Amino acid sequence: MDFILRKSLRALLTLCIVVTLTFVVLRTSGDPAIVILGTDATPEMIARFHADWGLDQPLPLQYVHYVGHIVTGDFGTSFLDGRPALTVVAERLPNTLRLAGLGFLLTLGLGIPAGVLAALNRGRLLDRLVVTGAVLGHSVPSFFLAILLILLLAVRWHLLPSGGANAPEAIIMPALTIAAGGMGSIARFTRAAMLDALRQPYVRGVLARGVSWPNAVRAHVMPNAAIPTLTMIGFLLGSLVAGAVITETVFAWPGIGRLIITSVARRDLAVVQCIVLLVATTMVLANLTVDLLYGWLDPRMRAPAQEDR
Amino acid sequence: MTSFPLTRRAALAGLAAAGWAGSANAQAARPNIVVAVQENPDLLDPFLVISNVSYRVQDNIYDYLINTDYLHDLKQTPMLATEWHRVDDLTLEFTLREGVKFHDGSEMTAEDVAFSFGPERIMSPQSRGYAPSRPFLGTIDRVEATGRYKVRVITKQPDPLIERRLAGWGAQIVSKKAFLAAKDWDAWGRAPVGTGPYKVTQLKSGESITLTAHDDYWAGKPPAASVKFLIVPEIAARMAGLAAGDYDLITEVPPDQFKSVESDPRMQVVGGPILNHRVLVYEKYNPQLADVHVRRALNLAIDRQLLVDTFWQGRVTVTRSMQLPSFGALYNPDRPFPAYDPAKARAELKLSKYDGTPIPYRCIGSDYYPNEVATAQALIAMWKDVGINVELVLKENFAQVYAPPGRGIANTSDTALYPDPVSELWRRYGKESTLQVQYKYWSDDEFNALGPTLVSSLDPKARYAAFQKMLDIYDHDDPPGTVLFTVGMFYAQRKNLNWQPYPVEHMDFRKEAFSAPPAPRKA
Repeated sequence: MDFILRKSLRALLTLCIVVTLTFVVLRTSGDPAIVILGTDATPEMIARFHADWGLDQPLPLQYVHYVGHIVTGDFGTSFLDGRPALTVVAERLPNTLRLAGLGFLLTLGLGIPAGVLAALNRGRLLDRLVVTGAVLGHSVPSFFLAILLILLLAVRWHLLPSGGANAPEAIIMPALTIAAGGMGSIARFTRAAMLDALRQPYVRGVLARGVSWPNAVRAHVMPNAAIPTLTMIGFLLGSLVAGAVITETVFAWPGIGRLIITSVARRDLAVVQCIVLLVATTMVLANLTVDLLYGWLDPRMRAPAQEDR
Repeated sequence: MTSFPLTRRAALAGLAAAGWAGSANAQAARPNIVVAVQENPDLLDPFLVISNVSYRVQDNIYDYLINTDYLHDLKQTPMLATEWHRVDDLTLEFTLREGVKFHDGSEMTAEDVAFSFGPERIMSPQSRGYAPSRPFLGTIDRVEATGRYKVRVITKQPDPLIERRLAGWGAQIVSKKAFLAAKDWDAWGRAPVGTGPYKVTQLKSGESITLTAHDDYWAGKPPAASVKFLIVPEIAARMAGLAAGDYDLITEVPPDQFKSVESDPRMQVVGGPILNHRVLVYEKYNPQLADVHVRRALNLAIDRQLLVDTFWQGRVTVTRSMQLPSFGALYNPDRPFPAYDPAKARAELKLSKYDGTPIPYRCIGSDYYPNEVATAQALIAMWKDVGINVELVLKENFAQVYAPPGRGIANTSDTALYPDPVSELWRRYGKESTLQVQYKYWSDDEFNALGPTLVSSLDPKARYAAFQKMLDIYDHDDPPGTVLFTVGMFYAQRKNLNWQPYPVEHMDFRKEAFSAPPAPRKA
C-alpha cells in the first residue's frame, strides 16, 4: 500500500511541475495576441485580446487562476475558435488513440515474437535478418519512411489514400510508420533480454531436471525476460500520444500530435496546456502501471516494501 | 480482348464515372473539388481571422456590394449592388440587386447591408469587429438603409477610395438574422451565413473546411458541387496526394518543386506574383540604423534580380519601389528600379559613422516566407561584400521578432488590399500603422504630413504627387526598409482542372475562375 501511495505522490508532483513549467515557458516566449492576431493588429485589438483572456493580469495571478480552474476540471478556452480547450482536444483524441493503438499492437505483435525468435536462433540467418530489420526500423527517420510509403503505396500502386483520416484504410500507412521505430526497439530489447535469461544457470538447472526445451523457454526464460521488456513497453506506451507528431503531420492525420504543433506555434495556451497535461498524465500513468506490474510479475520486488513496514 | 489491371481505386473510379455518365442532370455532373492546403482559418468571419488563409477561403462564402474583377485589371463591376453613384463628397448611394438569397434561403435587403456595417458588427467600440475593421473601413461614418433595395454609405471625410474599400476585405455582406441568432461571435464564425456561391457545411478545426454549392446563388449555380479545403501540412505529402489523384489542387508550392511538378505530364504549376511585396524593415532607432547612410548602403548592396532568379526561378518580379501597375493613375512607370550598386553602397557607408558593429537581422527560423532563411543568408553575404556586418538571429514567431531590445532588420510582406497605395504604403508605414504606433520601428514627419492628401484628396494629381514624394522618402530620404520583390503564390493542379488563380491570396471557385467539370470523384 505504501508502495502505491509513494509512487502516486511522486506522479502527482511530476504533473504539478509539468503544469507550472508549461505555463511559464508559454507565457514568456512571445505575446499570443501578436502571434494570433498577426502583426497588422492594432494596439486596441491587442489590448482587447489581453483583457478578454485575462493576459493583462500579473503572471502569478494568472497562474493561480489557471490552477484553480484546472482543479475544477476547466481547462480554459481556445484563443483560436472560442471552444473549450478540452473539447478541442477530445475531438482529436479518438484519432490519435486509434492510430497509436494500432501502431502499438503492431509494435508488440511483431516486435516481441521477432525478438524471441532471434534470440532462440542466435547467430543464424533468422537472427541476422531480425537484427538488421530492427536496426533499420529503429534508425530510418519516420519522415523518410512515411514519404517512401506514400510514394509506393499511394502514388505508384494506388493502393491506399495518401493522407487524411476519411477512408478506413487510411490508417494503414501511418500505423506502419509509427510501428516501425517501436518494433525495432522492442525486437532488439526482447532479444537481448531473452539471451540474458538463456545464459542464466537456472536454465541449465531446469533442463537438467528433465524439463523439455520448449517448456523451459515458455515457463522460465520468457517470464524472466519479460521484466526488462516491460520497462521498454512502458516508455513506448507513454510516448505514444505525443510520439505521432511527425507521422500525423506527413499523413495529414487529424490527431493530437498535429494539434500540439499548431497550438504551440500559435500560442493557443489553453489547448497546449491541456495536451501537455494529457501527455504527462499518460506518461506518468504508464510508468505507474509498469511499476505495479513489476510487483505482479516478480514477487521479489514486493518483498522489500513489505519488510519496510 | 484487351485486359487491364483492376485495382480497388480503379473500380471505385469506374463506379463513380458510371454514376456520373448515367445521370442526365447537370448538378450530378458538377465535381467535388479537394484542395490540399497548408493551413485553414479556424473561424470564417472576416474580422475574426485576418490572414492569407482566411483570404483564400472566405470569398467563396461572401459577396461584396462591388466586385473586383481580378482577371481584368481589377476593374470594379456590379455584385450585390447593381448601380452606385456619389451623391456628394461624403455620400455614396447604392441600388441593391433584388432577389439575392442568403445561404439560409432568406432574401438579402438593405437592412442586411446596413447591419453588416452597423454597430453590432463594426461601428460600436464594444463590438469585436470594431478594432479589426478600422484599417479597412475606418473612414465610414454610417451606412443607412433608405429603402428595401437602397443604401447610402456616408464617410467621415472625403474618401477617394470608398468604392475600393467596399469591394475589399471586411466589406462582406452578412445575414442580419443569422448573425443575431448565433450565440456569440465564435459560434457565428464557425457557421456564418453569406450570399456567396458556396455555403459552409462542415468546419473541422485543424482538419478541413467543406463548402457546398449554394444553388440559389444570384449569378447562377456554382460550377463545383463542393469544395473541400483539406489541411495537408507537408508539401511532399501534398505533392504525392496530387500525383496519386487524391487532390485536385494544392497550394503553397515552393519554387524548388516546380520542376518536379512539371515532370509529371498530368500536372501543372499555376500562379505568379500577387499584390504583395516581400520587404525588409529597418528599425530606425537601432544605433547603427539611425544613420540614414547605413540604410541607404543596405538598399544599394542588394542584387534583387539575383534573389528572384535564385530563389523564385525568375517567376516573381522586381518592382519600381513600392508600387504596382494596378495602382492605375498613381503608378509612375518611369520611376527607376531600386539600384544594385555596390560601389555606391561603399561610398554611402563612408559617409556614415558605421564602425562595423554587427546589426541584428531577425528571421523566423521555420521559414514563414518561402526560403526566408536562405534569402536572409544571401542578403547578409551581399551586405558583407560592401562592408556591413549583419548577424542572423533566428526567432520563433513575429511577437519575438518585434520585441525590443536588440531589433535591427526584420522580414515582412506588405499586401495591397486594394490597388491603391493607401492600402499598402500608407496602411503599413503611415501615421497610424502598427509599425509606427505599436512597434515604434520608424517614423518620419514629412511622410506623415503627406498622408492626409493621399488618403482623402479627391484630386488625382495631388494624390499622385504626394505618393511619389512618399516613395522618395521610402527609397532614399529616410528608408523604413526596402522592397525585395513581389510575393509569388503558386499552386499545382491537375492539367484538366480549369481553375485560374487571381493575383491575390483569394481562391475563387465562381464560374469566372473555374469551369469545365473535371473527372468526377467520390464525395
